[in-house]
Amino acid sequence: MDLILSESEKRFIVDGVKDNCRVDGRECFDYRCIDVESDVISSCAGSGHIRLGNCEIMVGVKCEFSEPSLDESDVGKLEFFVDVSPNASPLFDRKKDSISNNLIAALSHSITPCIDLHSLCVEKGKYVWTVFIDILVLELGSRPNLLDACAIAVKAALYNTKIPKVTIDCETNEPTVSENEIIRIDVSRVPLFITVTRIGNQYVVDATQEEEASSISSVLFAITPDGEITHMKKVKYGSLCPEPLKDVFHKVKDLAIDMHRNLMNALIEESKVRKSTNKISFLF
Amino acid sequence: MARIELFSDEGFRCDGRRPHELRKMSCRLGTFEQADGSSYVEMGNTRVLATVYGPRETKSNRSRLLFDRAIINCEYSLATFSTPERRRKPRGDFRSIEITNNLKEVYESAILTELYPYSQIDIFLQVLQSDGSNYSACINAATLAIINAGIPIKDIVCACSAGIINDTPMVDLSYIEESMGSNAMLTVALLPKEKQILSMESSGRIHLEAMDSLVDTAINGCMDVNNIMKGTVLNYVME
Repeated sequence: MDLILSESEKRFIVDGVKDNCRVDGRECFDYRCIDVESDVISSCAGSGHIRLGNCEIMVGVKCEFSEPSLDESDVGKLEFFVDVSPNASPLFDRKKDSISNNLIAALSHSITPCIDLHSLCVEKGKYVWTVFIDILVLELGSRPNLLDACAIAVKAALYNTKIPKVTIDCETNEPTVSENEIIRIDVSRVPLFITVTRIGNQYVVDATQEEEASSISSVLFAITPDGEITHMKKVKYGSLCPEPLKDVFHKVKDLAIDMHRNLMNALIEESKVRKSTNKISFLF
Repeated sequence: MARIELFSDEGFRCDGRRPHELRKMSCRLGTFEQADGSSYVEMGNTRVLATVYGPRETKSNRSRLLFDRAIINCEYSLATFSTPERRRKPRGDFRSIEITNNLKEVYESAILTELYPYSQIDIFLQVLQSDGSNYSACINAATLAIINAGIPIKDIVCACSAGIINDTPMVDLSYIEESMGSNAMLTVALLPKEKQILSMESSGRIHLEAMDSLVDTAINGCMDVNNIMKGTVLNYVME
């Protein structure tokens, strides 16, 4: 995974970033083209698939009946699971666990509080829905943009998740599944992640593997469509000055609001198209 | 609820196929940039991604390397969301390990491993959606990925499953056909040019007299799969 770069290669990247021109011609706060599609796996309640540079991720959402916890009897549960497929990158074996645990922690910290878990309650004190969000990393690009891509894919998958409406007969305890009524999960407050990476004295988003190798440190932000930061974390070893970071907050906020808008537009557009043409194949 | 009729009197299967018809199969080569070889195979609703890395030297497990040929390392994983019921673990269960070992045996005999001493070839398979005949879809995907990686292989190894339902042999079973009742099922992996069987695995009870026709059906299925795969490879090379 860890790419080995020579000193001169690193120098080239750092100097380029200083002039706001990166190796692939982007500016510091530009993302690469992001391809998202949803509803790709028919055996799931909802699914999403994303490709961002070299990073490719699939998310499947499945729902199961479960008993609520004792202290909160009318809230559903959200469970994240990340699997880094052996396909993704063969160069590391044990690091996989740490990558997936970090992802699970970041996603569940930031996304769970933004979803109305009460809507996942079937019968108070008896049954609630547990929503399993299974993330499968098919190809691993750089580590900073992995989380960004995951969050987009999760949001896309949750957006098209359809949970059947179930009513419980009070006397017999028999569940009946409604034929045409479905519950949808409200994703209007679900945050997206933006990871900024410090290269030299500048910050960039969506770092490539080469840029990751010449970076000092990264900070990840989870930002809601309203521009609120719900989670923030510094990752990797280097240290950061507080002053330049303050400029980054505003830039990241504007970028995130833009991304939210574009993503929602794309998802709504896609769900309209889906009704007329029945797309089967996936992978771009 | 009435039992689903797997094979109707009119000669149609539950998804509208004839007994000797494959599901719609489509494949693609070179899906990933980072891997040395990769492919994507869709057989009906069964979808498999395969990647191949190598031949290369390894940092770990140096002691396992052989002086006269390459070693093959396989890993088969089934995504947690791929099956109708959610799975707890993507790999490590009994069936996954069995498939992993089978794949290793198939490709150790199909790849010209003696050309690459002291090296390792990794074949990774990821099932994205499982709708029956996973093992045969995996073999087809792995073969295409190996071809994409440019690793010399004896022939386009192809595989197909066959089963007997209502005394009629039929190819390429779907999940319903695989799981309903005590139907017999056979998966054959073939070197198509010489019609050599590389792997053969059956489950369920088969009458000895039905065995002949079942094997023939599976081999015919393999030849059909082979034609599709050959077409894909030729198309890819033309591009």
